[in-house]
Amino acid sequence: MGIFNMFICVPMLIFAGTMTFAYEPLLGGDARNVLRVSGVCMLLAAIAVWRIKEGRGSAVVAAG
Amino acid sequence: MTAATMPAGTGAATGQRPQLSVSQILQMNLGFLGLQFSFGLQQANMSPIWGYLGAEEKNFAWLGIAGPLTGLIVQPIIGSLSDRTASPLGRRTPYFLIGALMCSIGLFFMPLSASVLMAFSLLFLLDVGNNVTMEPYRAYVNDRLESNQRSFGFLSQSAFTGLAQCLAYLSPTLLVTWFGLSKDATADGGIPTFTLVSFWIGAVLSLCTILWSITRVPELKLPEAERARLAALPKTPSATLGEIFHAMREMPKAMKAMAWMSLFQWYAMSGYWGYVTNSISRSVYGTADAGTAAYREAVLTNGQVGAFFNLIAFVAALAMAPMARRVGAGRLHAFCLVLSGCAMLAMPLIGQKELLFVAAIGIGLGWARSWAIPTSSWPIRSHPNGPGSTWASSICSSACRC
Repeated sequence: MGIFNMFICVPMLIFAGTMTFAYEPLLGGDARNVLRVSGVCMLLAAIAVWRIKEGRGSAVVAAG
Repeated sequence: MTAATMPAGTGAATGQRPQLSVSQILQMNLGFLGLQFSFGLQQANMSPIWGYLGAEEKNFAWLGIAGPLTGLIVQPIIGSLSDRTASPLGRRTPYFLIGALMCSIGLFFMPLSASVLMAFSLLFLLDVGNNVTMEPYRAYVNDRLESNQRSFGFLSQSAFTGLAQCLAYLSPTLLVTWFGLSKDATADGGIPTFTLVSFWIGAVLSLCTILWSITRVPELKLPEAERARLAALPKTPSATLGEIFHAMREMPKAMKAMAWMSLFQWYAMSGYWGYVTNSISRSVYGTADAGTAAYREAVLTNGQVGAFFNLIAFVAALAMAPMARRVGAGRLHAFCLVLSGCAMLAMPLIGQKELLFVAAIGIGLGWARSWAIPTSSWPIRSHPNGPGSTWASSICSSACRC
């Protein structure tokens, strides 16, 4: 138990810990750019799913 | 999963739980509606609240840390403690009551916040309360229902989740259009009245729905053997932590492969929740100033968009369960994430309110899949769960426990 929970909470904590510092210098202090970053992250998540799916066994090694 | 982490109901050979009627199953899970309404309110309103209280936009990101932090720390501990609890009130009931009370207090005072610090503290109270109730409520389905009725039990929780989140997002708009609340009236701290009333509705719902559930469909008495087994289990925090670490070591390798997907997916959702209102306020209403009428309009718009994407997510989650078997869960999952990503990339470019709802379809499809596991070889149970997510409960508590 708690594993999936970590899969969710840890990325959210990373967001909380990084975005504050990135917001003004990297994203120009514009909330629209945060949505652009989120969009790119979703696409990266889709690529990650592809890797899980492609060879179950080997994906473990690749991603692990 | 070890015997110690199994929900007691399944561990003991108690077997015979009475069959409940559809209405009874709905009533036993009604408390979930109140709980998820509270999650929806947070998701929809916390960023604007930081803004009303004068926080800088860059700080919205870490001000929302209460959700993931309490989810990470409180939820597993409560889940494990509740599995070992045998109180006079029952095994899960004490957690339902305490959690609902904390939620209710947090929701009542949140819109009265006079400072960022006060709202930040209340968010912790609210999120601890949510977590105290959430995990035991998931486990309760296994406790209370015979195995042939559990799917319906979880389904009713998912349905209440979808309904509650839609309503939570939509309530400010409903208050303005149906009940004639002024768009421009604000409380002392600058928080709009439509937000204040929505939170107070949440405060009442949170407590009343739980009370309804536990009085109309009370917990079953634990059998003596089970009670003795629970009493013999160590209740110390270290035992609980030990159990959690044990579960972590036992984590199937395949799950580790999911870590990357989760990292990107939930980072993206955090960004969406934290900044979508301010993105809409800029792209559609041309302002980022939380004190303006245009910004309040953006908050209402985001509520409508959020209600719509939660509705899409709920319907899609049901529709996609059989589809996942046909086209492959991985492919479907990736497809939905791509749509969601494109929608997020498109939203900042949209200057017309109506078009936001098109983007919301993509967001909703991605959100629907957030609660499913992308591989057909694992048990798939889709929960369009709250922001919850996080905070909200793990898929694991249903997937692994069933």
